[in-house]
Amino acid sequence: MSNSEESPHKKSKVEATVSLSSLPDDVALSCVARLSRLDHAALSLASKSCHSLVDSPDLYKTRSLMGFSEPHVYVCLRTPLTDPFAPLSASGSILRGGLKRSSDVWLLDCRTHTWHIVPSMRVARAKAAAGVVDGKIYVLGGCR
Amino acid sequence: MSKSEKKIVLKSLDNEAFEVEKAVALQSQTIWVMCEDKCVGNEIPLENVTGQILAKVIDYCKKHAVVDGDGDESSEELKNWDTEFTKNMDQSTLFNMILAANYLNIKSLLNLTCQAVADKTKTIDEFHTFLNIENNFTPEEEAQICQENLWAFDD
Repeated sequence: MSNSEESPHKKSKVEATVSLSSLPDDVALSCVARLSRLDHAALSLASKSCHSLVDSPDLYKTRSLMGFSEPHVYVCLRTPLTDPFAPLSASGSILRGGLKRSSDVWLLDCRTHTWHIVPSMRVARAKAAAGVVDGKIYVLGGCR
Repeated sequence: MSKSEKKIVLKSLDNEAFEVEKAVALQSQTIWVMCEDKCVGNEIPLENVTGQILAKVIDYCKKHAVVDGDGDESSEELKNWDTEFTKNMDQSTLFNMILAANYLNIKSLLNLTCQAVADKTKTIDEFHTFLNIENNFTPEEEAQICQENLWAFDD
């Protein structure tokens, strides 16, 4: 049986099918800004405009203004980047790495999509392991 | 404001009339401004809100009104009430509540309903069905973005 969608002429605008695009832009943005950062991947696959919204600075600006920004730490222990990296949570966003043993640490600012060099590790490592405890990144192993 | 003016009548777009305490109605900044400007009588026509939605908005405002300065509802209780209020709302009601809260300028209700939309939509399917977002990617584009976001989908 089909759903009863049998209103041949919509009686009033308010009863018509509603969608995100039927909301004023600022209200729609306010809904989307409340989604967690982890939902953005799914959102970016919803449509082209959603994809560009996730990529745009507007969403991050709104999230910051509304107090919904979530700092995340991303740790990647291998370069060149073969695997996408997953957020580990905490503050800032960081990437370090090297198949070749290296002590370099790079910081990726996810809002501006820019890389910065930050103080290096005390020893050079390759294929190390990492975890986040109390907002600090610990890198273990991988050194000689 | 004299005591005889304590009640106010709100009229929906489909001509349903609701008599409410002024303190309840004045949570709407839109109504507050109308009353301040004295541009309306005791009956306020709300052209963008149906009776069905207005009834719910009034329920919310009644719950949130601090009548006679007696705020005996604990904030915890109020929070739970808010959660229950939006929990079983269908998509159309929720969106119309957002539009009403926006039109009537009731900030806390707008926040609550926008948050409810965010809480109800987590998956790609929900974005398509609940938010009615049309998927306009070609299969190739979709595959590529999927690849970029692999970490999010491989549970």
